[in-house]
Amino acid sequence: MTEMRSADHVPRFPLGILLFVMAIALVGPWIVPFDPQDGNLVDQFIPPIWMKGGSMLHICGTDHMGRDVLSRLIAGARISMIVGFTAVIFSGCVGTLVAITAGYLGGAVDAILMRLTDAMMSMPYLLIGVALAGILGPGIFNLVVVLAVMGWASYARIIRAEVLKVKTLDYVVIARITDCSLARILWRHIFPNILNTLIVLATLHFGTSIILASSLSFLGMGVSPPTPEWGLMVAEGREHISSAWWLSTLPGICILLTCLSANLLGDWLRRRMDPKQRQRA
Amino acid sequence: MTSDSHNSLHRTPVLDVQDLRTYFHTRSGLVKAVDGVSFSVARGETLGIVGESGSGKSITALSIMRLLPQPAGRIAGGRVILAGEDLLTKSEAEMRSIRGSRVSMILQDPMTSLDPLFTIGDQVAEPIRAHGRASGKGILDRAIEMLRLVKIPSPEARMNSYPHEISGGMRQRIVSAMAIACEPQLLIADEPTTSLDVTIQAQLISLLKELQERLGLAMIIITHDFSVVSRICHRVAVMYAGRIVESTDVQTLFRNPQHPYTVALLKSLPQLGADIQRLQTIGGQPPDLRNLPNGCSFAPRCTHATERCHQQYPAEVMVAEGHVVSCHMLETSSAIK
Amino acid sequence: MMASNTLDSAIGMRSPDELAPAPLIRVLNLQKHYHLADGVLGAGGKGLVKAVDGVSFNIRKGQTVSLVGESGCGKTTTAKNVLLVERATGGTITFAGQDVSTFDRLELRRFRRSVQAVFQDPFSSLNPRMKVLDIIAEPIDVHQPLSSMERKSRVAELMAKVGLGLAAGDSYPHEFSGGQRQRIAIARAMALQPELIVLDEPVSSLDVSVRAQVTNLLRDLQEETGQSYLLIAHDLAMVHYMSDIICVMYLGKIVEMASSQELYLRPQHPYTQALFAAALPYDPSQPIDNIVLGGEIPSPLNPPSGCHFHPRCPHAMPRCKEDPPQLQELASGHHVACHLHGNL
Repeated sequence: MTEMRSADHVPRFPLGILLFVMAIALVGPWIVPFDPQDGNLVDQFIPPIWMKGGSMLHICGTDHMGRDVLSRLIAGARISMIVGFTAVIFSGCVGTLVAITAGYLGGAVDAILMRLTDAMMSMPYLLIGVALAGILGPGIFNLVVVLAVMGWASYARIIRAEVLKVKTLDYVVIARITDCSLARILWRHIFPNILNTLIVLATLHFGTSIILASSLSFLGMGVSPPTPEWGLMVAEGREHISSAWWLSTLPGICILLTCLSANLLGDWLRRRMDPKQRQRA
Repeated sequence: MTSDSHNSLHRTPVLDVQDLRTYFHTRSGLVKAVDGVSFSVARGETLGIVGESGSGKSITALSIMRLLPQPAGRIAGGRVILAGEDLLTKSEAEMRSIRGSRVSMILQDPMTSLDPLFTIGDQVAEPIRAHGRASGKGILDRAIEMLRLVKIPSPEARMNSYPHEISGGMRQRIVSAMAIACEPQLLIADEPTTSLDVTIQAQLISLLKELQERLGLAMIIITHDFSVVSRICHRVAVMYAGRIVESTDVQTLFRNPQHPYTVALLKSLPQLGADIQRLQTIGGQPPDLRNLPNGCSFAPRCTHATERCHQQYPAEVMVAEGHVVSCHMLETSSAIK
Repeated sequence: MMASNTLDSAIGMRSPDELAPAPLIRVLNLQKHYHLADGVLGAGGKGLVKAVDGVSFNIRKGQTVSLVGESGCGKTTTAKNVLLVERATGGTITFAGQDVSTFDRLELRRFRRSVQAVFQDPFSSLNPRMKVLDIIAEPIDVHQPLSSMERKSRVAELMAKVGLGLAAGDSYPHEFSGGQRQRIAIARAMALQPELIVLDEPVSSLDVSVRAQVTNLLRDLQEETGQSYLLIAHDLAMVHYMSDIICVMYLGKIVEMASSQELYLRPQHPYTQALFAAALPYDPSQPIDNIVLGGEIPSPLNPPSGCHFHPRCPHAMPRCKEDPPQLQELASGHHVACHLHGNL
């Protein structure tokens, strides 16, 4: 019998925040009040509007180079979204491909691919990120590559487990008895039935990517100045934390809210997609 | 609603269930899993509760034990009287001391009934220790005695085995040993044979019968398998959509069933040796408990249904001594066969 | 069924060999062994499970042959081998006169068109992400693709045959009950007019009141199309009702094989007798032969020596421990592997 639970509706705040950030990312270049990369040293360190000395012109204040913080936050949103989506798409594709191949074919293929996955997962990810970034150099594209390379392994592991479960189900056995081609089985029977898990993983990974991208940028391994990336902004604001606290804190809050929203949404999706359909004859 | 009409003659019931109602509050509506069920079981008697999935038979057992999934399941009414005391008024602490010592339960799946991390000895000793039936070395001795009672070969050696080393049939016996360790007044077995192989089923049924004779247990066997019923039960209650539609002794059930559901069900089962050309089927599907029809729940599938059947739930009719049926047709005393 | 059980016994038992000429499927001394992996990389090879250890039977056109037995008897493994889902370790399986191990790609494909299956669990045998229409049409799509119109009408025909309305085609499996899902599975199995359908416990997971519907449906379809069934089940009453020939299996071997009625009237092997005794008739006042077998079903990893059944057999003789009995034909069409009968 189903348990009573206060109805598990879509979590509105996290969804709203994510949609908002995505919207900002889309229209960013057209709504920035100022050029995110351009600043006048004369205007440096203007505090946000709610503080003494703040002005309507710079709602979130300005940084050490006199650049408008709000504009940089908006531009940063675009970068985070691009990085998040592309990392998830690449990792997801590679991870799923590996998982389905290894899981369904089994045997030596499975063994090799899984050892590779194990190797990837046992490496300290930030270290790898730093090393890769060091080799490839800075820039958004390289950042995405780093994140994709680091991310596929956890997809592979989890989705392979799903594939193993699905491939023993009767309908897959019947598909083989019916002489369905391998391609047909993978595409029509295996893939649609691991899709749920994939979506949950992707949502959670989205949040993680943003944090990772910010961390790498913070460490100087991602994008480089003067690109307005949230993590980079946090790093740049470090020196001024006692005087101009908003330089690090505001982008930090953005990272927090975006990643948290993605996580909450992913959690809800996972709960929602739990096998609840247990009907009786 | 009294259950005098259900009593066996000259025996005071160990368990007397009166108008039990258990409802579940789910997202998709109110599910009346058990909706006015009354029966009694005497010492040394076995009552079979027969029904399909959704009939409410397992929920009835869980309600008696007060083990319903919370918070969704709630006992909405009725009384469950065990040797004079209403279990529904007991506190959880009181129920804990009753479960395992005065009322025990055997469940369906032997693979998950035992904790894989503890030895057989630990698990059989647990109820003995928990209810203070022995102490010190006495606990182990009693545990071994229980294993012997359920015919486990070399019980002393078995005490140190783990569940995964033991077959399904033996596990059910061990679970039975745990259930009788404190000499309960009532033993409830929920589909105890369903997961077992046929020859092992026969062993377990034989064992349960013997235990009942030896210990004078009152037993309730919940099952959908009529051959189990015919072998071990004295009386049978047939449940459909949360209510008992027919209850009688086991001979009468097979020789002279009255409720259309019972009749149809028995006719739809292939019987060895009987010269059947074609099984008779029951049309339709088992009912959706969230959406029960007005009137008799079986009416949509019943070949004898009348207008009245769709409007009003039939009252219980005593067709013969100890034989009660809920069907409008019998109110005018016209039998089916 | 080709003829009802009572008709068979009325006209005197006809040996299956006298019926149609060549059997559709001929299983000869089938063996399937599993090696239990052990050690690093599974190279240790400790333990050999002889899941199927020399099983032979035939299935003729229009016949229902059943395999009955308890856990570990090898009936499911046998079915998987007949379906060519697994490769046999030994013995031969012949389909339409040809050894399946000699199949080339085309012949295998032809086999797959002709031999289909319906499995036990109605909830895992249908892809939850596919519409019912597509599920039933899949064999057609794979083997003889039709135009959209023809496809739809063929599926409609199949659904009507199993008692489902056409509207069901646009729905997904989870919207149906267990009984209805089994009907969908049967429709799918019949899509290409197979010659043999393997039924693995087709009704055991269904509610009791629904079982008769599906059982009758299977029988009706067989009468209409002449398809053969290989039925795997443990419910002796249902098996007796559905089958022409019953093979009783124990730990990888057939211990008795006879026509359905003959087996019921004159079970010879002590295990068969115990099975029938346990599958009581429902009327408790009928006299029952109260045979309760002691002991456990042995593990296929470590089967008893000689006749595998001897530790539990009420009639065991010293010979039974040493000497595995061979399957011998006692009466016409009635085979038993037991030292109590016949001489080697």
